[in-house]
Amino acid sequence: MPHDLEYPSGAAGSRWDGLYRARGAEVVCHRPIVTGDVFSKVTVQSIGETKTKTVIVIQHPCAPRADGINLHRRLLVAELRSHSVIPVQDWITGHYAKMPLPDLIPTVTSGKRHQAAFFDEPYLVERGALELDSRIACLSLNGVNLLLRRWVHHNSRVVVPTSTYDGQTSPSYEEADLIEEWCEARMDIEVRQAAAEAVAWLREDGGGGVTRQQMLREPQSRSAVRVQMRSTIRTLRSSDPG
Amino acid sequence: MATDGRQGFLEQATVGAEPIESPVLPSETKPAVSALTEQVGFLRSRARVIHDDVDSLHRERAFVDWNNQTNQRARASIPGMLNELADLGFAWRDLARLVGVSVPAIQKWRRGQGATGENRRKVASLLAACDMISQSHGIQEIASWTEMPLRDGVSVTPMDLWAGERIDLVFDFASGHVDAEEILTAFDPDWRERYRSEFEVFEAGDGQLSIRMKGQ
Amino acid sequence: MEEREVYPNAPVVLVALEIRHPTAGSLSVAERGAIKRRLTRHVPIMRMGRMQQLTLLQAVGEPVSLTGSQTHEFPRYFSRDNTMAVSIRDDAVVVETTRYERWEQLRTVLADLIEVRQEIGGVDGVERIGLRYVDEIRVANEQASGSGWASWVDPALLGPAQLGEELGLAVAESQGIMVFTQSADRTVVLRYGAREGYAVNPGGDLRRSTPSPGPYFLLDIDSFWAPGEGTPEFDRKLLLETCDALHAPVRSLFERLITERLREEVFRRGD
Repeated sequence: MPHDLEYPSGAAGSRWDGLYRARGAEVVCHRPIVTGDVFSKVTVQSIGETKTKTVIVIQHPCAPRADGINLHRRLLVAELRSHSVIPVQDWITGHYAKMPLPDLIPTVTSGKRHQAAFFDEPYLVERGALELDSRIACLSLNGVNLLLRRWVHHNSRVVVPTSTYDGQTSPSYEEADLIEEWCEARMDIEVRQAAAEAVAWLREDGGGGVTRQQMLREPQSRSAVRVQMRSTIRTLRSSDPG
Repeated sequence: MATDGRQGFLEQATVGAEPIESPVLPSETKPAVSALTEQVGFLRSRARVIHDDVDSLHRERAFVDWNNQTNQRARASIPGMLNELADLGFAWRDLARLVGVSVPAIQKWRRGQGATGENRRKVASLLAACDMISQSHGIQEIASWTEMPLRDGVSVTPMDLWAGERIDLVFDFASGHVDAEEILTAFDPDWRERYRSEFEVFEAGDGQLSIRMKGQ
Repeated sequence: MEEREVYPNAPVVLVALEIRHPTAGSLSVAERGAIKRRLTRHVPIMRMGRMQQLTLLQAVGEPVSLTGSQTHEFPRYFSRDNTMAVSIRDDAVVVETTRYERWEQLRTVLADLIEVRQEIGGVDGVERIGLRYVDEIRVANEQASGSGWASWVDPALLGPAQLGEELGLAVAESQGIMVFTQSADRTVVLRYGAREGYAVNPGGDLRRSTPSPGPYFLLDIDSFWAPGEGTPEFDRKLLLETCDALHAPVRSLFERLITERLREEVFRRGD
């Protein structure tokens, strides 16, 4: 079992839902760009030509930012195309060059509803090409782990359990969640400023000489960071003039 | 005896001087182990399997209490309940998982947009379970406790049990009287194989988390 | 054999099969061990259980008084995941499960149990055989209360709920019982009603999934056989044939009591 590629668990009615954190109108602009984010109408450079495609960020969660705020100049993405639903058993036994994304666009009934990321079609895109307004989906933590597992397997034929990836990706994912929550609470200031505020706060000492960002690496410490953050936000909001 | 503190309808009937004949109820097929609640059967059983120890009685009682406390908690507003859960340190994505909705749905409820009665009860049941675990078993930082693996090397947490509708195992784990391996087996008989990994996460030279084979 | 659909999200929370017989002697330690070895492929974990029998007396106008109490010990055998148990009492054998999938699977365990009990300890006859299915129907829907359950279960199960609502009387809970006879020795008892909490307490010794406590509709179908005269032999063939006959009407009755909407929107949602 740990040597097999995995598929999303859960009852059939909700299994695909478990891949996503947000889709369509649920996606918010103030969430940082992370692995697994899907963007439409992205300009990509192909050989000798420029194209516009729907893509998914497959850069590793630890890697997209040079300084914690600003994305690297270029990011690795994979192309998405419409694809029929792949049954869960087939996630294990085939389609190794893809990450299935069933029900990516649940509001349509056409073939565009279900898609897949094609690992054989990677691109490097300029960070400016990933406009927050054109983000159409964000994967859940489980979705990100499944994506990474399939992407690494595609490149190296090495199978690493999803639970191991979780240990590696969850601190970054948690950080993205916290920044999103901070920015939502600080809607009174510009998003970039709020995000910078959040990152600065996370890099402060959370107690015992360990930054809050480092505390996120330990599962039992994360709730303490959340509690501190929510308290800090309340203080900031109550002290804001007007 | 599992009870919600109310008497059954047969005991509560209005009575006068003349006895009213109760209907003769048919015999019942009786489980020997399962704890059919008094809601089933409509006739107080004269024979009942008694528990081997007090813990078993408490375990049964816990579910009756959970239902009652959920009813109590459900009187509050949903934003209020969510704020309480946030103040305990739960992540929104974990709360969404426990209730069975998306994170954006939780965010809508926080902003005061309506939730169904069913979802309101689910949120109330989360708070009620937190109350019970904290009060009955002295677990202080409950959100943190739910995120810690039951056993080193196995990535199953109380949160996973809870999301898998095995709050019975969460209560057991909180009690400290049931072995983690027994709980894992009850949750997933194949856990030893499923969570076996030759890999581990470590901090690499650049300070980022990396993955390597164990033993390196 | 008739093809029966297995619902991915079936509401059954407990199935119990009880065969009562004339009181046999208590099993010795060696006999308990022998039974454990014979049933180990189904239920390898043995634990002891105790049954307390209370005799209560209540005269008109008097409080209830306890006039007798007896405690009996008996072996119970559990599956490793604690979702199935076999109990061997002095006066009955019981197999019960909270993870029921198909009748044929339960029947296999039952067949082994009957064979083992015939050979070890000895039983003189059979007095009653009962097969009971307890279902908790839960729907995530505002309308699943009072007469609103009519979208999910046959309105016949709701009695005067709608009439009460028209008079401004909200249904708090309901209890119903219907006794059907198939023949002189076979009966089906249906207990039903809109309830809250659980029909099978998740804190019991058998593990079960534990949804949040809340409203559900109980369907409790108890199909049993009791001989009109005499005490038939504890015969494997007879017992299994009788159990098959007891099982036959249960599914049919269940299917008639639920709506297609419940099948589609709730039971068929799953793996």
